[in-house]
Amino acid sequence: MDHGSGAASAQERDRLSTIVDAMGVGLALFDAQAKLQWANGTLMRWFGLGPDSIGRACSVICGCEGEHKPACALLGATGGGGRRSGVVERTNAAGEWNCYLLAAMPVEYGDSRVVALVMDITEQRRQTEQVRLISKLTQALEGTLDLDRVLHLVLTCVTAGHALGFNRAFVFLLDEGKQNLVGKMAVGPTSHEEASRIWSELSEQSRTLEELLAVPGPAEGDQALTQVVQSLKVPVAQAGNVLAQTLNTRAAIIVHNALADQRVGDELTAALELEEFVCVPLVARDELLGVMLADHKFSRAPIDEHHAELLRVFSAQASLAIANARAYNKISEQMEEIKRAQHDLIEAEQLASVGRMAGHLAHEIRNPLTTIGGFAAAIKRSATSDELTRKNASVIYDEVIRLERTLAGVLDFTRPVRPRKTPVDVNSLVRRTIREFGNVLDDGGITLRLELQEDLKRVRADSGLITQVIINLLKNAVEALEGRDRRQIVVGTAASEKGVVVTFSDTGGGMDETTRQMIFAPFFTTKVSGSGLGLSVSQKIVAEHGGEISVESELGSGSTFRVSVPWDDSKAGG
Amino acid sequence: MAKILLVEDETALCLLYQTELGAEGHEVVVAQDGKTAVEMAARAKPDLVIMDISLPEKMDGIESMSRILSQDKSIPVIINTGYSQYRDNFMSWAAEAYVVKSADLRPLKKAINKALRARQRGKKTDASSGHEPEGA
Repeated sequence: MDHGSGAASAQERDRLSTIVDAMGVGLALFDAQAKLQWANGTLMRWFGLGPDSIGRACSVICGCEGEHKPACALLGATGGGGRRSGVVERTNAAGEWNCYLLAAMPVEYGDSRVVALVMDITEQRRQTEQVRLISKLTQALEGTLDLDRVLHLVLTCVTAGHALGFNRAFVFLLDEGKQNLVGKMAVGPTSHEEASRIWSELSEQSRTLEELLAVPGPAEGDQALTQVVQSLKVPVAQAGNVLAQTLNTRAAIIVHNALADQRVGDELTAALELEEFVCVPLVARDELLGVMLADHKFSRAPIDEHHAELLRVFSAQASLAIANARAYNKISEQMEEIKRAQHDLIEAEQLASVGRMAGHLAHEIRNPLTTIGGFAAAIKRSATSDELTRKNASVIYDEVIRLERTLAGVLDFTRPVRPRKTPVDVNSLVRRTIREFGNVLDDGGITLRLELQEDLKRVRADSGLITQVIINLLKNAVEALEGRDRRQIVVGTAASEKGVVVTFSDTGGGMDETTRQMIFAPFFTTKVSGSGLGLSVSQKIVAEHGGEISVESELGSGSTFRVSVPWDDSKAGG
Repeated sequence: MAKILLVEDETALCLLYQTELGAEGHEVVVAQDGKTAVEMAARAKPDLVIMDISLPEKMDGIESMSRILSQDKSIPVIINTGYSQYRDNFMSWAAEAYVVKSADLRPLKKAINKALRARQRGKKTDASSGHEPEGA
């Protein structure tokens, strides 16, 4: 270091240097080509300079390369440009960010042509950034009602940029029942390597806050951390827990050593690898929303009251946005429910008008049917000696009765069913109904087997309606047997705890799972003709009796319908 | 056996009922709308009225029935209709029985006989016990 004019000036310079060092200011001298000649201790420390930095271009300090060169204060001051100043930002090897004000002045001091004064304005800059941050966040949050996006923005602000500059941040929100704090989202690297990579990227790209906030969602690394935090749940009632305490006292809490601190549960410490962290409440308009944790896990910068306070102030803003997003979500959900209810109502209305129409139609049809059938019966009765006429008239009459039954089936669906219940002996009801059904079974070549449990107690039922159910299920079984080789129906009764269970098994073609699940739905039919109402009417009737109807089926083998009817426990019963 | 006032607008059905009920020995007189029915009930003093619900002109069977009953409370009225949905309707309760029209005339005949028997005994039966459950 032997430039300049001799021992006297060197001594002078050293004295100056000592004074300047004591002031905490950086000082450097540059030659006419803007190459570094000398820097004081402070500056060398700040910029990591060593003896080999001497003679290097000014960029070792001001970091100007490429597009920054024209704006460089040092270059500007060189060559008689006059006084210049600029701001230099630097992130050191430990990931710490600092900001310096550089003032360059032309000078003639030996062969030095530029003297540079460097002041550390990190703190002031940080504070300005904080104000900018809050305002930027407010802007970004304006109109953001998606909760996940809000959380992500908040966490990004806490960790990115230099205003708050935490390494990692986690959000826990109160669940619906307000019993637990549940991990919702996290932002931050999961390892040192990743952290270093991110910092060097950041300092290289020097992204603005806007650019950072414009990122739509969590980065890959964040997702891993988010998954970890989402598996965590802390009950609010656990008063000794730091998260619960933060929430309940509505105050920020700093934990300096998570492992040793009683307030931090082992599960939490281990899952998030916590060491030193700060926890702040998220409260909006007096409503407790959750808590936010932040730490300096990788940079290991100490967390103090100042940090905590900053974070708390910031979280107040964030809480409002979170509360809004939540309220919006709730409203959205309720709107969906209303839409669904409205849809159901419209469907019900449509069904009702179909019902009304069906009622009138049935009436219109009944009158002529009565005429046709009535006269056919009269013909049959009067043709005592004419066998052919009797037979023909009989056919007409039977078909008319069949039509009447179809009509009855349609209308009973639309009419509300009000059963008149009395004690009923199920076995005799079954026997009687089957007797009336007898010729249908014989004509179809169907064998019917009865397996009735004897001495069954009575059930409480409307015998007419239950008969209808029996008829419906028998009809269904008969139809299922069409075209089958083996045509058998087994009707059984048995006692159960709650009542009588009547089973109808057929050796029909069975049904697949999809059909089986839909079989009781109104208007559902797999048959070419048929209203598809028989089974749904039966279900309605059984439900009105407080019983249940179900079906098991195997494709290719057949189906078994099970109907349960509750016992009669009135005093009049047996 | 009895004088029955049949209130029915469909001519073919009138013919059917006249034939069938006549064969049972009853005298059947016919009205084909509500207003005429009320007049005939007053004049002919039937033992029983069979009333259809849907009738032409402005008066339907329910109204006609209530007017007939206000003239003479003791006349049994059997509703014989193609509508099944008014069975549980309170307006039908004034009737002795509610029969849904069918080619099978047995339910109607049963209801007629029951009502006439009760009338002989001097009291009217209740419409709710006159209700015949299907298939029983």
